[in-house]
Amino acid sequence: MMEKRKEYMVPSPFKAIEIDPDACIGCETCVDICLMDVLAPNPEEGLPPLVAYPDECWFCGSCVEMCPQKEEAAIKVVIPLPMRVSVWRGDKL
Amino acid sequence: MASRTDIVPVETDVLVIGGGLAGCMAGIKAREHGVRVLIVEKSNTLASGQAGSGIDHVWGYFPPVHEKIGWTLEDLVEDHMEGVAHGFARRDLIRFVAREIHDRMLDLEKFGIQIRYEDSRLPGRFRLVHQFHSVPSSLNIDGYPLKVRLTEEAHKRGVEILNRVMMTDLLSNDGRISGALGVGTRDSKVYLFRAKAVVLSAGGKTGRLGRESTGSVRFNLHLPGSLSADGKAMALRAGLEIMNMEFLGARRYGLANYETAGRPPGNTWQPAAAIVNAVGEVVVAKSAFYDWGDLDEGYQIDAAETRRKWLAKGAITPQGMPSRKDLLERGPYYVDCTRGSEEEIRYVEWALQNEGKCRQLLTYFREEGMDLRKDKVELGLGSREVGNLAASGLVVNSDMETALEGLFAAGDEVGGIPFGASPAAFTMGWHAGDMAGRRAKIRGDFLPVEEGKLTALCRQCADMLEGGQGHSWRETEDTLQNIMDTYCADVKTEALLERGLARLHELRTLPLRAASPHDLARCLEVKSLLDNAEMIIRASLARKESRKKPCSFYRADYPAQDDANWRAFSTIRRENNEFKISKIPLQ
Repeated sequence: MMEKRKEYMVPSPFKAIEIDPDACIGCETCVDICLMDVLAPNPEEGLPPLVAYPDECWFCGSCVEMCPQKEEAAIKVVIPLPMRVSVWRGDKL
Repeated sequence: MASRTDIVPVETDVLVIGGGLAGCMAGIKAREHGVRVLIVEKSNTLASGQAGSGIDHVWGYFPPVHEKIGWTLEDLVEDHMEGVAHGFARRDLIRFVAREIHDRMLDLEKFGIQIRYEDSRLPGRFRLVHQFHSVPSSLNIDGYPLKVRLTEEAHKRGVEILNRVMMTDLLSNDGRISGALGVGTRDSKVYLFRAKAVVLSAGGKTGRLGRESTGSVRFNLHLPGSLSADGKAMALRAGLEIMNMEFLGARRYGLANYETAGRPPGNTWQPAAAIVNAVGEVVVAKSAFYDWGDLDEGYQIDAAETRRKWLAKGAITPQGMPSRKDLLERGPYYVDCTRGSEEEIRYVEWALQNEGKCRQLLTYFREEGMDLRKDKVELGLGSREVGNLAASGLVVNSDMETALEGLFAAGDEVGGIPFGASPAAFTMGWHAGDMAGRRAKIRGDFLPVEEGKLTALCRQCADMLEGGQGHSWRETEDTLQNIMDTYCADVKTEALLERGLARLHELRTLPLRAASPHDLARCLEVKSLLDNAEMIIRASLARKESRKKPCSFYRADYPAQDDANWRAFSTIRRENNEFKISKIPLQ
């Protein structure tokens, strides 16, 4: 099973989603709701899901908002470099 | 070829294709007729569709407020026709949406969505803000949890929901709908749905037919990446007429790099946001909370004069808004909320919490130590989209029924409603569901389905899953985007479009390869995109004129606007592998 899953994964230039294995309870709510089907269940029950297709993330944050471990920050969206906004901070550019 | 055992047969009275706002509303309403209702969704109704990460405002006519100040439903319709659509809209449908939305918002309130605010002095404690019309007509709602509440309501009423199935084909028999076909996105099973009435509400739009954004971040789009205009592709395959395909939405301003809904300085960013240039000079001034006057004193507006002033100011796009040329020659420009009062900035933050993807944007701002009170954010052009401004979509009658008896369309699947957006989804979804429920109830047995289409889909899926030599969906989609950006972008000519069509046909002949069920669904999405691209190029070839508003359609070989011949919607359909284009003159 694990081998087969690996074959599905695509190398991505960025992370998109980071899961804290200590905070994640492996409930798979995020796998269930993800708009883009980015996450896959971990073949080992109770372990954090696999970020199978990071380059297909739409960055909606539904996985973060609906995570029962939201308070513990179990899931974090990591905005890829090319997407980061250009900020004019305070009075300086 | 997939064996017949992989086919999952499903029977229902009303089948709803797509579980976004329109689909959920349709399912909920159809169930009132006591029939079996099934919503089939490609993702999960809890977070899917354009409202999956929220909506903070919904335009429409709200009688408790608007009647009181002497602004009529017809005033709103006229504003929309003239200032938003420049005549390129169906007045009957604009009126329907505007009229019905108040009742739908009261329904939403029953489903657990907040639509009234203690800080409002307006009747009903509604909060109305400016968006599209000369008088504030967009109702604020705490819309972040919309899809969760609608899913709960659907379950409560006994509507069945089937997630993770992507629909590919409509089935019919002698001019009447008989069902549909779909494929499981996680198991590659082929689903055969038999139904007595069908609502098509798969979103209509897509942002995936161009690659103007941020390189490797493929789905950095303001529209959900899951939207691949599957509904329009299904309609084409079923021989139905689709209108306005040549009108791509123009690229619009948003935050540079990071695509969300809710664009500054208006909408979700009002009234705190101004636009400033690189030395901090104000280019577009911030707005202010609208002064409704004292409604109890019988305050009335002069609607015609209000509209005149609003049109003179540039209607929904302020005249002072930098042009694309300005952006290149005089940019960069910034969104500047620093002049907003604390109350105004808190209001904008509330709005962002509730509007498409902006809740995640606020989280990102916090992580970056970015504060709207002190810092400015650069403005940029966002991705192009199929659908919105031009409102391409199916041709329907006033009851949302298509030419295929028993097939209704709703929301962004329907053509002729520029900026229909969520109000169109709420109102048309509800009505389409109502009509589908009635129809299913009086229709007797299920009709025969088209076996040929089922066999073809099974073979297509098997070929892609087993096709070692084919191309991945990623490289095929990239190639398609290149074709659209090169041959069918801002400047069009017959020579470019013909070449684009030829390259598109070459691409179509190349086999696709899927390494997993997930991949197979993406390949099927690419098939939808290919069909949409062909409609767009062909409709662009047919329109032999240029038309700046509402849709920035430019043919270098026909640079003049030709009202005598082209003040009309175009329609396209495919019959026996031949495309047919016709016109519907505007009223």
